[in-house]
Amino acid sequence: MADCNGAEILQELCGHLRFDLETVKTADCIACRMPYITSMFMPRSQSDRPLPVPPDSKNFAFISQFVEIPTDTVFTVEYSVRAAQMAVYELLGISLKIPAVTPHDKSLHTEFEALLKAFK
Amino acid sequence: MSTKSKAYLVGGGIGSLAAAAFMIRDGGIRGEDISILEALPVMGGSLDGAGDVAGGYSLRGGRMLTTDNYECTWGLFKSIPSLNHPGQSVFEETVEFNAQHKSHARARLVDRRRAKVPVTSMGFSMQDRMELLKLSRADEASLGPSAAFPESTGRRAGILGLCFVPRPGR
Repeated sequence: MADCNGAEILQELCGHLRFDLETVKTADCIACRMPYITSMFMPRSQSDRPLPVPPDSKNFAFISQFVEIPTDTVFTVEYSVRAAQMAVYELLGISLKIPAVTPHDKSLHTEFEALLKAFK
Repeated sequence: MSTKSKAYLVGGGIGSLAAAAFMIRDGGIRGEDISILEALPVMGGSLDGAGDVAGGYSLRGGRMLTTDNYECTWGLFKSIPSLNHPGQSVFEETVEFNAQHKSHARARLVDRRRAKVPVTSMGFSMQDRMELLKLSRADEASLGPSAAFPESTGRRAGILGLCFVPRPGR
């Protein structure tokens, strides 16, 4: 598949889905690969990810998807931005408050909706 | 670090761009003292967007800028002026874009006859429900090292971005 161009990938996909290729005849399909797109879901231990600013670090920090933010969820733009904000504020000694992660998973409304959905 | 510091960010994705913005906005670091190192000729990482009418457009990462639970992202975007709409912030620009361009997803699954598969039922057994409930209540530390779940990683790997751009005049 890596050797295919976009038109070939689109044709292959239409074949799998039994879609009519005629429908997308005028479409441009630009192929791109994201080989690490699922990497944040690889098996890990709780201690594998460093904190944005590791203990004793004075001028070095980690940002983006592979740092430890205990209450947030990876695979989002928010995770990258939050890690950046945490790293910058800690290294520069900025005392402004970083907004807390909204605990949607602890919301009664969310839990109730999940329960209802589980029984559908 | 002081305001005389120089900062070096590895990778030109949203993480580095956000870090640079926070340093400038809240840390008093001058923009010219921040270097973002990117191996590719285009900035943005997974959050890129490029192209034109003739050749079509490409965005590698999916966008989920429609949710209300992006506390830090919206906080940042509210303070970034829009490039295209003077007087507007990137936050306002995004909200306006979302209002104008509603999601138009009509099917999540199709079967081999091209028919839409009904997905209202989760198809859970009582054991499935109990396991999910237990998992949702579990503390991460109590779960131990995560294991590979071929089914769930397979589903994630199935994320496929396709952008259909009709060429003008056809």
